[in-house]
Amino acid sequence: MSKGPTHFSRSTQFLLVALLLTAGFVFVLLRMAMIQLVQYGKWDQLATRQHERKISLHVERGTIYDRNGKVLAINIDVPSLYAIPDEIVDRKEMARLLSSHLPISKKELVTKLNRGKDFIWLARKIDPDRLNGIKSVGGIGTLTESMRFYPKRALFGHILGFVGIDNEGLEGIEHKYEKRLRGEPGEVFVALDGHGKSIYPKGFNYIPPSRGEDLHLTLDETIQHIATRALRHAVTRTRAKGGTAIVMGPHEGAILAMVVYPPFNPNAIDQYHPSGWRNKAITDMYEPGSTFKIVTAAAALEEKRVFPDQMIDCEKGSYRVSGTIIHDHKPMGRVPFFDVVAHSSNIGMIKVASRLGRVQLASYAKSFGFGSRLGIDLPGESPGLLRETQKWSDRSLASIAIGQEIAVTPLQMAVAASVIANRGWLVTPYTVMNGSASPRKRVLSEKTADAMTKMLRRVVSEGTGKRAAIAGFSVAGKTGTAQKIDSGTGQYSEKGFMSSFVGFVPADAPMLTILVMIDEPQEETFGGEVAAPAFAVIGREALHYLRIAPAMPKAVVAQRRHALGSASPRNGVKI
Amino acid sequence: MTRVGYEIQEMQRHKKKLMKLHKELLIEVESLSALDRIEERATSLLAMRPAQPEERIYIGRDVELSGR
Repeated sequence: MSKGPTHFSRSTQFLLVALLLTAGFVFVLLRMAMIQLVQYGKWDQLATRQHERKISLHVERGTIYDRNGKVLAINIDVPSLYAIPDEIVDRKEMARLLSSHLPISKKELVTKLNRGKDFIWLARKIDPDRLNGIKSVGGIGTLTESMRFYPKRALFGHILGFVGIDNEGLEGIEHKYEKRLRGEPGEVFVALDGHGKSIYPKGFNYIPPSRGEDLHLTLDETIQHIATRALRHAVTRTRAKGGTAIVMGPHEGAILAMVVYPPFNPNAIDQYHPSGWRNKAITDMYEPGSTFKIVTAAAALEEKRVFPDQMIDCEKGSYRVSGTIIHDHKPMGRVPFFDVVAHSSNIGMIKVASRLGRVQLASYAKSFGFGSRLGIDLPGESPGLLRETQKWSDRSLASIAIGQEIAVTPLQMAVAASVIANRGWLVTPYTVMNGSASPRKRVLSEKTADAMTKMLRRVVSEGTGKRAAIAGFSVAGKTGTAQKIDSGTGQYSEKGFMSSFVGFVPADAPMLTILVMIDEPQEETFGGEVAAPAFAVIGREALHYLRIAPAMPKAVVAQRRHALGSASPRNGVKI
Repeated sequence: MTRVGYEIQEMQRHKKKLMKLHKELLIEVESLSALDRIEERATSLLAMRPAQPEERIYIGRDVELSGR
């Protein structure tokens, strides 16, 4: 007997339906509880994301000025081109059209458009003229972005550095002062309707952008130009590889000019090899040669191992030290120590250094700022190279006394000369005005510094630095001609020289310390022939610009000098 | 009130426009006054040359200066 279909009683059917409905309600209630109570945060976040949009507000990077308020770095508004690939009907045709306006190939553009992204940049920060004929095409749009512009082009390139595509500082002052220059971008939250259109800005959630801070440098456009012109002339005249010039206020450490040749234009960084971006005035080391005798002589005088008029036997220009024959370019017999300095006798200086000893020479070299970073507010400063005395060979004392076996940066050499100009005080160089005096440290007594000034004046009046003389002004300084190391042989090169001159003017009331260094000059090689004339031109023109006249009373010069270190931001200093 | 509101908005737009113009002019001035450019124009177009030291005369007002 087959079973027929099961028949439930009406009451059972009612019970089943009620159970199903109850289960359904319970499920819905549980789900609601889950969403509203347990997963509240997650769903709220999703809803907010759908109904609100955060818009980043553009922030302007701070402007950089020179000491007189001339603009050195500023922002300009330029268009950037973007694409929304889904809205483009024919991507290949679009790529063809765009490639005729932009410096990108058609193939590259097609690849970009087919990457499957909702939004892509086609070209950022482009010349507005390139946009003619592109603007009205569907799926393509422009946004205005801020681009860094350097109106003085290459004049301050190595100091200012440059920024990246998103305006982040990558080199130079732009990098060092990134935090102050960049500012803080703002934000605004916008409420959206069901179609994704903005209803109203949510005023309570507005965070205004905070503009980047402006910077006022100690550098002076005119002095920088003077130094650039003189350095360029010296490098081209001697067919050298390059050169460096530094002009600074010796008393407070303010850098007035810092030039590296060949120049570098930060508006077109891609046209230079990265090595061309480097500020060699602070990053590169060289053996200073005879300019370092300033340190040896000052240390010996301070320690009373020699006196300015004490007679020193210069051995007629030939002298054996630790198995090596040392020569002088101008053979001399017994001469007073001031002539050892004036005529840059290696033998005389080595003899004086031997009275001083390695520990004291190393100690003074460190005190003058060698072997460690000076702390200038620029990135990439090199500490130079001054080995510990335990690692010195028998010949090291003699070598270091005349500026060999030691590596320095051009800035270190300029700061060391400033110690003499500053009557024994070592200052920390700086490029951005900050309203406070830079730290300083006493290295020599005033008496020693004054004696050194006298001897360095004699270098220019009687000795190797005659071509550094400036009519109407007293000049103190020292020449240097150092052989470079031949990278092939590891020995001193017979052809490659670093020729330099470092000094200060006016010697009786120093206003400016100037260093000129020429890298591998051809034919003429002596610092007194190659670098000293450039020093004289920079000194003469800079003093003229600063309204320092020949024979001007010391008090007036001192007054003008004071202004160099105390310029007020915005309006600059009235010199 | 509404009219004043519109006027303020209009003036703010005008101010923004003027500030943009000011910035553009500032950039133009700074670019055109770059010293290497001035020097190049002065020497090539106007046949000028830098004054030599012996051509300079210093005139003292409140300080005693040498004649030349």
